[in-house]
Amino acid sequence: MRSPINWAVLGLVIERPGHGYDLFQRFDSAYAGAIELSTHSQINGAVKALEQRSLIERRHADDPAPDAPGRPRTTAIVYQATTKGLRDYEQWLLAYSPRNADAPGVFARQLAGLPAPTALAVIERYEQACLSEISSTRVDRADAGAPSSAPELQGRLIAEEKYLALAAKIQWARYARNQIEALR
Amino acid sequence: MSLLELRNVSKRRSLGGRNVLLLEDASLEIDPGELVGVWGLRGSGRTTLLRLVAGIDAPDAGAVRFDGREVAGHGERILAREIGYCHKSFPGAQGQLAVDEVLLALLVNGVRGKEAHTRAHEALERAGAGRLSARRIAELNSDERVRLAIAHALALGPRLLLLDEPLAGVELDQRDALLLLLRSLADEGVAVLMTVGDLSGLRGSDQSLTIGDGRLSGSPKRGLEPVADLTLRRQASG
Repeated sequence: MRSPINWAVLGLVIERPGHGYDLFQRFDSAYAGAIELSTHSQINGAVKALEQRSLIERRHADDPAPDAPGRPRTTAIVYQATTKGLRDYEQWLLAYSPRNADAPGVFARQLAGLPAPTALAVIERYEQACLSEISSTRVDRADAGAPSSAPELQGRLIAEEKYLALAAKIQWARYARNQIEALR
Repeated sequence: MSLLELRNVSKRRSLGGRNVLLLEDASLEIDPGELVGVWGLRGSGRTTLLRLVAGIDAPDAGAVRFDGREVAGHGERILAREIGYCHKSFPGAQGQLAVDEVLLALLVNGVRGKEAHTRAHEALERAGAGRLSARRIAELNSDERVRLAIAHALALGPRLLLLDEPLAGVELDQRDALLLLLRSLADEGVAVLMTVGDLSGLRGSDQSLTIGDGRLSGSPKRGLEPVADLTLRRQASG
């Protein structure tokens, strides 16, 4: 599953079960400016896709048991995460790469919705990936002097941009770890 | 078997009536030819880590092994000859010539006469400090002191080089040159373990680690840990 909207909706359902409109409102509030929706129906599409993959299931709002086929509908339907949904969401976040070009705040938002032990595992893995990346950034020779060509200038600028971005992510990961642990 | 192995090492210290955890359950492996950087803030446990590896301090729990031998209790014998330790501030006599400081390390370890002079100059050259040999230590800047400290350690042909914040106080335009020197030493087969207070010091390293509140974490040696293992370990500890 690649759609960031689907994963975001799954995260919201894990955080708190909700019905379609509730999920739309919460999505709008949580991801405003980060993941743009073109229509309200995208949330419905995400819910459908998650349900088809058995990542979420329906239940009646006043009944914690999953909805059974043929059962009369007397109360509103809400969606709740399945065990598979929770597990897949955790695995997806654990595999989150610092190379992802998501808008600022998306990963942080999703991390904050996880139980503390899982969030700590996710942040540890993220930090590991950042550290592996930073090891591979180049070190210039001190006597290399000014760049002698446009490609060399390009190479230096890209390497420095990559290093600075990774350094910020590692420091953010340290901050996130401290904050999550303080919450436990 | 790795050249250096730390297995679940912990270290505590009594400080003002409190029992402070300096290092908690730290594990690490370093092979010959590896450059390993540990980034941490002041008080994070980075110097404690180096002192345990050098055998200056003994762990309260766990084991530190160098070439299969327990370092604790044998630190003085292993240190200098096989493990070179470059302190944060080079503690040489301020009025002494740089070459004499390196010579002293050799003489103390039984290397005499012409051989000592030859090795001292070779070590200074290797550390990019050949031009400093006739300078007094008090006259050296931060970069030059680090290079002298490296020469001091290299003179005895260590297999593992420990550096406590080699980039601290070094001018920005000299940092990359120092990193390249350490990289080249590793490429020649020396294992290098250094602590840094700035993340730029991790560039070009084979293993990059962070240390905070005594906990060592970072890029594992053989690729990223499988996600499933990480989850299970967290579940077990949480």
